[in-house]
Amino acid sequence: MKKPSLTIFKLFVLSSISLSVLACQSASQSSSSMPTPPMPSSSSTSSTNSASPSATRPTSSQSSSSQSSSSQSSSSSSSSSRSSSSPSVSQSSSASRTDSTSQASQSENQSSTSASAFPTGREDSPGAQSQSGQQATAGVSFPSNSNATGQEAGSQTRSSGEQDDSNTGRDTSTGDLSQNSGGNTSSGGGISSSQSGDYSLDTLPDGVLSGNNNSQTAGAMTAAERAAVLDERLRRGYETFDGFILSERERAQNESNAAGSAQPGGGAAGGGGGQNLPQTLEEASSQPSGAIVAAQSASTPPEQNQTFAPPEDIPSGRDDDVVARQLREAAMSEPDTELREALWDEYRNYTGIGEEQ
Amino acid sequence: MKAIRQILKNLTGLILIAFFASACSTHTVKSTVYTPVISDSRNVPEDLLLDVGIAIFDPGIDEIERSEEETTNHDIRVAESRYAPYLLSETLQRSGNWGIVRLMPSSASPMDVLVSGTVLQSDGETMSLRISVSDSTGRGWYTKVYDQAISQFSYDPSQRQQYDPFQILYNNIANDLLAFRNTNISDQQIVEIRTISEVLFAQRFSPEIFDAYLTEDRRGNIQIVSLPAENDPVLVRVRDIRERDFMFIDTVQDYYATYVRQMRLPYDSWREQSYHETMELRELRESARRRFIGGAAAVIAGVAAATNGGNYASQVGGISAASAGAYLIKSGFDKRAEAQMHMEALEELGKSLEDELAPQVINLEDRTITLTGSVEEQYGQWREILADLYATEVGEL
Repeated sequence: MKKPSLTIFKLFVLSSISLSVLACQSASQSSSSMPTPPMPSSSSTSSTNSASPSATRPTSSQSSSSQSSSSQSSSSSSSSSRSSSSPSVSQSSSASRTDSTSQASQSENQSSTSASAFPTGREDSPGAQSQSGQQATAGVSFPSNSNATGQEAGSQTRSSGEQDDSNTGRDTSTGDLSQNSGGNTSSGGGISSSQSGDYSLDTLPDGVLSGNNNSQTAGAMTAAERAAVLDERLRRGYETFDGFILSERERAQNESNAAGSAQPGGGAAGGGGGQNLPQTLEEASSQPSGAIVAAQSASTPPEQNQTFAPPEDIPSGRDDDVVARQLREAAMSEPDTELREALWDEYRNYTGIGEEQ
Repeated sequence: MKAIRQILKNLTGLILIAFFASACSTHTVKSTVYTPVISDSRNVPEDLLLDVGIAIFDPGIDEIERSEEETTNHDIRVAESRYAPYLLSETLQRSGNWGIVRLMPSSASPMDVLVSGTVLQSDGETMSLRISVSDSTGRGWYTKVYDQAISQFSYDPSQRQQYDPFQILYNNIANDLLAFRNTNISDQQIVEIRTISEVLFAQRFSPEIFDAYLTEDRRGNIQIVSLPAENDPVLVRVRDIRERDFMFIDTVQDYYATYVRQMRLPYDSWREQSYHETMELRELRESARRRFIGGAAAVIAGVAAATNGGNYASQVGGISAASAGAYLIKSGFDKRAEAQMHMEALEELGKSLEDELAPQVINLEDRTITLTGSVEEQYGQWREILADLYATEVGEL
C-alpha cells in the first residue's frame, strides 16, 4: 500500500511541478495571469530591485494589458497613468517601443531601474526595427547612459516622425521635446556637457532645450545651421547681458545721484553718465567750467570758458540735486550778467533759498 | 683788552650763527595760479581719438617715508587710490582730447592708453603722484612725478565747489598727456594702437584665431603681423562683445561715481583739517629743530667762552650764552611735545575718516568684484560659443 501511495504522491508532485512550470511559462508571456511577487523574477532574471516600480516596465512594454498590473500596485498604476498620455505620441511608431521609451523619459527617478529597463528596451528594439527598420542606432545607444535613455527615446519617436516627413525635422523635434520637457531637462545636462555646456546664464530652460536640439540634430545639421544655432545663442546671451547691465547701471546711477550731486572738479562730467560713445566730445562741446580751449602753440584767452563766482547768498551746493546742479553750472558759466542773475534766481527758487530768506 | 674784544667777537659771532641756524628754515612756495586743462583745438576725427584706461592707483604704502609713517593712514591711502584716479579720469574726459576715459576695474580689458599711478604723498597740504603712461603696444610713454602744494585758499568754499583742491595736479597730468600725444604719436601710430587694442581684446575671446595677428618684438612691444578682414564674422562678433565690455566698464564707473560722492565730504573735511594740522606740525617740528640747533650752538659757545675766558666779563658772557642755549633747547622740547599733540590729532582725524571710508571701500570692492565675476562668467560662455563657431566654420572650410 505504501508503494502505490508513494507513486501517487510522486505523480502528484511531478504534475504539480509541471503545472507550475507551465504556469511560469504562461506568466512570461502574459503578466495578467501572474501574481505580482514572482513576476519580475520570472520575467527579468537580472532584476535586483524587483519590488520597485520598474517591475511594471516589462509588463507595459509587452502588451497593453498593463492595466491589470496597475490594479495590483499603486506605484505602477501611477506610472501607467502618466504613460497614458504617451500613446498619442507613440501611435505613429510601434506601440511597444514607444511605451517603454516614454516611460523612461517620464520618470527620472526610475533611472535606477535602468539595469532592468535597458535590457527590456533592447529586447524591444528588434521589434521596433522589424517595424520601422531604422532604429538600430537608437537601440544601441540605450545602455550607454541612463539619462540619455529618455533623450534617445524622444529622438526615436521624433526621428520616426521625421522619416515620415523629413522636411519638418527641427520643428517637430521641438514639439516632441517640449512635450517631454521634464525628462529632457535633466537629460540635457548630460548631452550638453559633452559639448560646450549650457551657454546662457539666465535662460537655462531655453538653453537646455536648444542644447538638446543641437545634440540630437548635430549629425543632421549642416555647418551653416549649426553656426546659426550658435549665433542665436550668442544673441540671446547679448540680450540677457544687456538687460542685466542696463538694470545694474540704472541702479548704480540712482545710487550715485542719491549719494550727492555736487561733483568735484566742476562735476559736469559725471561718472559714466553715458554709453560707450565718447562722451568727451559732447562734454567738450558743452564747454565745461574747468576746460579752456587752447591753440597748440599759444594759449588763447581763457575768458571763453570763464566761470563766474556765485553770489554770496548761494551756499556751497554740496547737497544739490541734479537739477539744482545744472542750474548752478549754467549760472556760473553764463557771461551775460542779467541772464546769470536770472539763472541764480531760478536756482534760489528751486532750492528754496529765497523762501528761507 | 684786545684779547677780551676778540673773545667777545667770537662769542657774538657764535651766538649769531646759532640764531641764524635756528632761524633758518625751508619755505614752500605755493602757487595759487590755476592751471587749466587744455583742450586740443584740432578737430580730431573720432577714429583717431585714443581711449584711455586708468588703473586703480597703487596706495604707495610701501613707499611711505619713515618720517611720514606716523601721520599716514593706510586705509585712507587705499581710499585715495580709488578717489584720485577717478578725478583724473573726469579731468581727461572733460578735456575732450580722448575717446572714452574710464577707471578700469581690472587689467583684463585692453585700452589704447593705460595710465597707472602711485600715491606718494597726500596730507591735505601736499599731494604727490607718480604717473606712468603706456599704450596698448606695450610702449611706455613716460613716468613722471607730480607734486602740488596748495594754500588755504584752495579750501575756500567758493573755490572748492568748482574744483578739487588738487585739481591743478590732475590738469597738469592731462596737459602732459596731450602734449606727449601731439608730439610723439602720429596718426598712423594711433591707428595701430587702436587696432592692437581691438585685436588684444579679440585674443581674449578667440585666441585660436587672433593670436596669429600680433607678435612681440625683442623689446616686448606688440606689433601687427596681419589683420583680419573688416567683415570677418568672428571679428564682428567680438566687436559686439566689446561694446558690452564697455557697458560693463561704464557700470563700474557708476560705482566709482557713487563712491567718490560718498567720500568727498568727509574726505574734504579731513583734508582741510589735516592741512592745518600738517602745517602746524611741520612748523613746530622745524621750530623745535631750529631751537635744538641754536640752543646747542649757544651752549657750546657759552661753555667755550666761560672756560676759555680770561676775565670775568667773558666768563659771564659765556655762562649767559650757555643759559640762553639751554633755554632754547628746553623750548625745543616744548615745541616737540606740542608737535606730538598735533600728530596725535592727525592720527585721530585719520582714524575718524578711516572708520567712515573703510565700509565704502569694502562696499565698492564687493560690488565691483561681484559684477566682474558675473561678467567674466558670461564672457567665458561666449568664449566657448566663439570657439564652437570657429570650429564649425573651420570645419565648413
